[in-house]
Amino acid sequence: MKKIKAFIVAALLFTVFLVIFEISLSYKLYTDDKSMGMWNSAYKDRSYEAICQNINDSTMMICGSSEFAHGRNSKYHPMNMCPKESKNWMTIGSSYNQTLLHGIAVGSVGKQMNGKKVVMLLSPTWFYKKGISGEHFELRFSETEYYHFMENKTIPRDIKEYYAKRSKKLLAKNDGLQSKVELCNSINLDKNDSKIAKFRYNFYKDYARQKDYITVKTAYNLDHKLYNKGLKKKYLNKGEVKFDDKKMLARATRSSKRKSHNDFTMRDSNFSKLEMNILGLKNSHEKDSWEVSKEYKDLEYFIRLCNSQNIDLDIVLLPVNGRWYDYTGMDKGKREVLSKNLSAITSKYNVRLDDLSEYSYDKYLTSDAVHPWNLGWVLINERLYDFYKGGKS
Amino acid sequence: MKKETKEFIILVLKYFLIMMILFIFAMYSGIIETPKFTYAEF
Repeated sequence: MKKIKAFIVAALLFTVFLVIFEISLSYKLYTDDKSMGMWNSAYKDRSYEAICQNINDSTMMICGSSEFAHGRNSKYHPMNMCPKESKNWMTIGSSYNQTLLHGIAVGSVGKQMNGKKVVMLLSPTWFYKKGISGEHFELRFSETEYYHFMENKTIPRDIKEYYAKRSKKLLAKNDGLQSKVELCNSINLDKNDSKIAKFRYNFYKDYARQKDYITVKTAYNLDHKLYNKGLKKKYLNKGEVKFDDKKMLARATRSSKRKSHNDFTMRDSNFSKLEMNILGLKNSHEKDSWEVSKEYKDLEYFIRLCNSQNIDLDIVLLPVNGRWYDYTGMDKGKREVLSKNLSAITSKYNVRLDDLSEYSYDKYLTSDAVHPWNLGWVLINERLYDFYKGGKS
Repeated sequence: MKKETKEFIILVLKYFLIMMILFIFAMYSGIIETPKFTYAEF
C-alpha cells in the first residue's frame, strides 16, 4: 500500500513537472534585430512560428536551397552586400529543399504574406525526371507548416488536394509522418468530425509546435551565441549598393582568381573533390535530362498558390558551371530546354522570370558545379534588389 | 521527521527518478519524438 501511495505521489509530481515545463515555454521566436530572416538553418525553415513571427510589412521571402550556405563569409552574400534591405529578407531553404516544400512553407503563412513579394531561386538540379525524392522530402518536411497550410482557408481546394496527394506519396516510407498527414487531410479536407480524430490532431499540432520551438530556440542560440554565425561587420557593405561598380567587380574577380587554378574556374578546394574522380565523372550526366520532370507541375502549383495568396512572385533560374556540365555530358543544348520550359510556364501565369542560365560560361561564377561564388552572388543580388525595390512581375 | 515519513519521501523520490530516467530514455530512443541535432548543421 505504501508503495502504491508513493508511486501515485511521484506520478503526480512528474505530471506537475511536465505541466510547469510546458507553461514555461513562451513560444517567442521573434528577433528584435531581424536576424532570423537571413539566418540559414533547416530548423528555422521547418518552423511555422519562426517564419510567421518574423514577417513584417516590408518582408520579402526568398525560397531556395543550399546556395544560402555558400559565401556567407564574403562581401557578396546578399546579407552582406545589401545589409539594409536584407534585414527584411527571409531566406527559406537548405540542401534538398525543392518547390513542393516551399509551397507548404509559403502557403502556411499566406495570410501574413498577402500583398508581399516572394522570390524563388530555382536550381536546375531540381528538374531531373522524378523531381524531389521521398527521402529528401521527408528530411525537410515541416509538420507545423503543413498543418497551417491545410488550415489556410484562402488556398483553393484543388491546390490543397495536390499538396495532400504529393505529400502522402512522398512520405510513404515514414508511417508516422504519413499518418499525421492523413489525419490532417481528413480533418481539413474531408471534414472529419470525429472528436477522437480532432483530439489527436490538436495533440499532434501542439506537440509539433513545442518541438519546433525548442529546436529553433536551441539552434538559434547555439549558432548566434556559441558559434557566432550572425552578421560579421568586416564583410558588411558600408557604401551604396552598386552592382555595376567596376572596382567591386574587379575585386570579386581577383578574389576568386586567386583561389582558382583549374579549367572549370571553380574554387580549387571544391574542384579537388571532383578531381579525385575526374575521369569517372566525364559524361556522367549524358543520360540525364531536364526536359520532363515532376518539378514543373510542382512549380505550376506553387505559382497558382502564390496567385491565390496575392503574392508578387519572381522566379530566378540560377546559373550552373557551363564548362563542368559540358564535361559531364549535359551540354548547352540539353540544358536550354529548362529555360524554354520555364519561360512557357511563367508566360502562362504572367510571372517574372530572371533567367541567369545565359551567364553559365562566365568565369568564376560558381564555386563548384552549381553554387554561386562571388560574381554569381552579385548577379543574383542585382535581381533580388531590383525586385524588392519595385520591379513588378 | 518520523522514520516512516522519511522512508516514504525517499520512495517517492526513487519513483520520480525512475520516471525521469524512463522519460529521457524514451526521448533518446525515439519512442518520444524530439529534435535531433547533428554536428554538421552547426
